[in-house]
Formats: sequence, structure tokens, C-alpha cells
Amino acid sequence: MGFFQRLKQRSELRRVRRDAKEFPTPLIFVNLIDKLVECEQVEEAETVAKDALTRFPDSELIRTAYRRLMRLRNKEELKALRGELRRSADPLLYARLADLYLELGEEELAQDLALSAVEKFPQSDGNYIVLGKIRARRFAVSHQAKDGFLSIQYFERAVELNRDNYRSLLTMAEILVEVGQRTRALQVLEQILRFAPNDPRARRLRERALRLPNADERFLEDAFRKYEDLYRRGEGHRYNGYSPAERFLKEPTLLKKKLAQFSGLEGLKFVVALAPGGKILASFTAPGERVDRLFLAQKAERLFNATEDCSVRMDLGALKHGLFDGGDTKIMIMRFDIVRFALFMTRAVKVNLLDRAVRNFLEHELFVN
Amino acid sequence: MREILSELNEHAGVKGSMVVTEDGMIVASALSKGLEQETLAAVSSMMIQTAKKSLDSNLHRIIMTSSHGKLVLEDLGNAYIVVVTNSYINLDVTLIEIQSAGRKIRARERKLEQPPLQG
Repeated sequence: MGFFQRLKQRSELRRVRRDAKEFPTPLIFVNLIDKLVECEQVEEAETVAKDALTRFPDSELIRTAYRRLMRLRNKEELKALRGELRRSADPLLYARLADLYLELGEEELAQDLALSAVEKFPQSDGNYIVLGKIRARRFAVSHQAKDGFLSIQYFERAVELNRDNYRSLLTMAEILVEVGQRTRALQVLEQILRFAPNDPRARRLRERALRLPNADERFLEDAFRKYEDLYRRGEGHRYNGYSPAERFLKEPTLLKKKLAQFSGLEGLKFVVALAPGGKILASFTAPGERVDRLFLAQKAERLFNATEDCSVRMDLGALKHGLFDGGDTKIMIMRFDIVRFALFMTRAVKVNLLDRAVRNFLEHELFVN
Repeated sequence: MREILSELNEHAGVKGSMVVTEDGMIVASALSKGLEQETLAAVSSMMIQTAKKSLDSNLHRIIMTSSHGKLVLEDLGNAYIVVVTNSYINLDVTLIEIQSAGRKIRARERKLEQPPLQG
């Protein structure tokens, strides 16, 4: 690479760094990660990617960029572990590889591998721990009952096989405290404090658990269901502290301006933002269009309910977006934290432009002031 | 038909596929372990019916993207092809494969509907 090209790259990197400070949005963070890789500053790219993943755990763009980068960084280790596993099918190797996949952001690969390992080696705890971790991470973002409940079940199995499994016990206790299960959480914490009586994290968690009301659900699954329900209604707090849509619930006028940005999208008739429960937060009707706002909002709500139900029942995690194409009419639904959006369009809309507009809206616009 | 679906499943990132009618009747399926046939048929039927009502028209296609996977439903005329994929698949390429599988299924169906030659 020539001197002038390097100079140009560095100046671009400076500009993106400034942007990331000024407008910390997923889209800009991804630009920064890509620029750092281009300038061969891969270590810093990894630090930025990890930070971005903590800031925006629900961002599709960040997850993809993180995965791409980590694959690049850990290519050799992955290759070596895969080779070892081919030579000897050992449960520990399965668990190590699955855990590495998980660290690289390849949750689905990690899950498939760990599931196949627990079938082959049901008496080894390592792969149950990986499965528990996967579900715990999913729960922290999706707040879905199924994820939380399954994570506890996997961790319990791991602890059955190895009683002093500190990480499993601690994560289990954290989740149980999170869903308000005082007695269950205290039982798990007692187990930790028996072999690690001075563990500061377990002690802090015990204090939190003791402050909870003594009202455990008879069935643990019900506790998770109630937790998910509160989250969906926008009433519960967030496990991971991630609540980017809260400001829109308090100030829906902010949203109205943002929705108007879709006005340039050819074929758009109407776009609506819905609060949990289906109440219209804001809407925008394209000039010259006459629509029944309430009627369309109800249609959107029905579509959301069916699609979210499908996503949960098929174990595909939290719904991000969905496109319904009827030829003459197209409807796009998308979720941003607990706010839901629906765009109603005619056949004139171009799907590639729609994708770009939606990505920009979800991964950038909704984060800037 | 199952052969066509199995061929589609060989495409990287595709976890399983199925042909299902609007009312949830399974015509053919090729699903990987962990995907339940009856559940997929039921949710597909619910999605098709809700989408048709909301669109007030025919339904050509649904693309659903979730944090841990995608679901594509494509109209075949009398039924729908349903495809479940992982979350990081490149849908541009996969959609071409799905359409191609759909064309093959429709062609086979037409062949079966033709009356046998007389004489």
C-alpha cells in the first residue's frame, strides 16, 4: 500500500473515531471496527467490538461484525481444536470447542455441538454448562421464559454431575434473583458458600436475595412466564440494563420525527410505532394517502402476535423483523426493544431500499437524539 | 418432493424445510433434529392465515428474522414451502435456492396432475 493511501486510511479512521464518540450507534461502531481492521489494528478492533456488544447486545449488525472479527482472530485455535476433536471424540474437547464458538459469537454452532455432545456423553458436565451459558445469554437479551427456564435446567444438570461447579451455581443464582425467586436463589448460594465461604460475588448476591419478598412461585416455569409477561408489557426492569426504547415511551413526540424519515421511501403508505399492548405511540402517513390508523395498527398488532409466537415456539429467539409480501401490498414489522413498528407499503417499494432504510432506522436513527 | 427438500437442506445454514398447506396439513418435510414437524406446520398455518388477513390479498412470501434464526415461507400455489435457517445465512442466495426448489415442486405437481396418455 502506498504512502498516500495509508494517509487517506488514517484520516478516515480519525473521522470514524470522532463519529463514534459523537454518535455512538451500532452502525457507526461497525464502521469503526471495519476501519480498524483495514488499518491492521485488529487488537483495538476486538476491544471496540466487545465494548459495542455490551452496549448494544440486541444489535444484529454488531453481532455479525463481532462474529466476523473473532473468526479472523481465532482461526488457528479453531482449526487446531477441530483437528483434535476429529482425532479423539472427547467430551472435554467438545465442551472446549463449543465454549470457543460461544465466545466467538457463534451461538448456534456452539449449541448444535454441545447438544450432540450431551447425547454422546450424558455424564460429562462441560457441555451442559455451555448449553446453560447459551440460554442464560439469550435470556439476558430476549427476556423469554423458555431461555431462562432452560438455562436453569442445564445448570442444574451440570451441578448434579459436579457439585462444586462455581460458575454454574453463580449464574443460576443470578438468574433466580433476577426473577425474584428468593428461597431457590438462597439454596443455590448456600451451596457456593459451603465451599467458598468468603466469595464476594456470592455474598453480595445473597444480600440481594435476602431483600426479595419471600414469595417464590410453586413452579419455576411460572416465575419465568410472569417475568417475560412484565417485560413484554414494558413494566419489568431489564436484566441487562439495556433499555434503549424507554425514552420513546416517555416522549413519543421524539418518535414522530423519526418516523417521518421514511417519507423518502417510494411506495410507503403508512408507518406506525406501537407501545407494548398495542397502543399507538406515533405514526406517519405518506402525503396524499388516506388510512384508518387504528385499523392498520390492529392489523400490525395481530401480525406481531402471530410472528412473535412463531419465533418463540420454533425456538428462534426474539423477533427482529418480518416482511409480508402480498404482491400489491407489503407489510414490514420490526421490533426495537419493547417498541414495535409496522410499515404498510404498495408494490412500488423496492425491497433492497426498504432493507437499507430499516437497517439505518434500527441500527442508527433510533439511537441518536 | 422430499428429495427436493433434502437437496435444499444441503445449502449452508438451512436447518430444514417443509411443504405445508394453508390449513397446516404437512405435504412433505425434511427437518433436522430439534425441529418439530407438527409445531412448524401449526405456526406456519397461523402465520399464513394472519398474513393473508392483514394483507387483504394473496400471500407471496414471508421472511421472518429473529435473533437466532430465520423462517421463510414461499407460495407454491396450492401450498407453501417453509424453510428454517440459522441467523447468519445470506438470504439473497438462499431465496434463489428456495425459489428453485419451489419451481421443481410445482413442475412435479403438474406432471402428476396430467392425465395418462390414451392408446
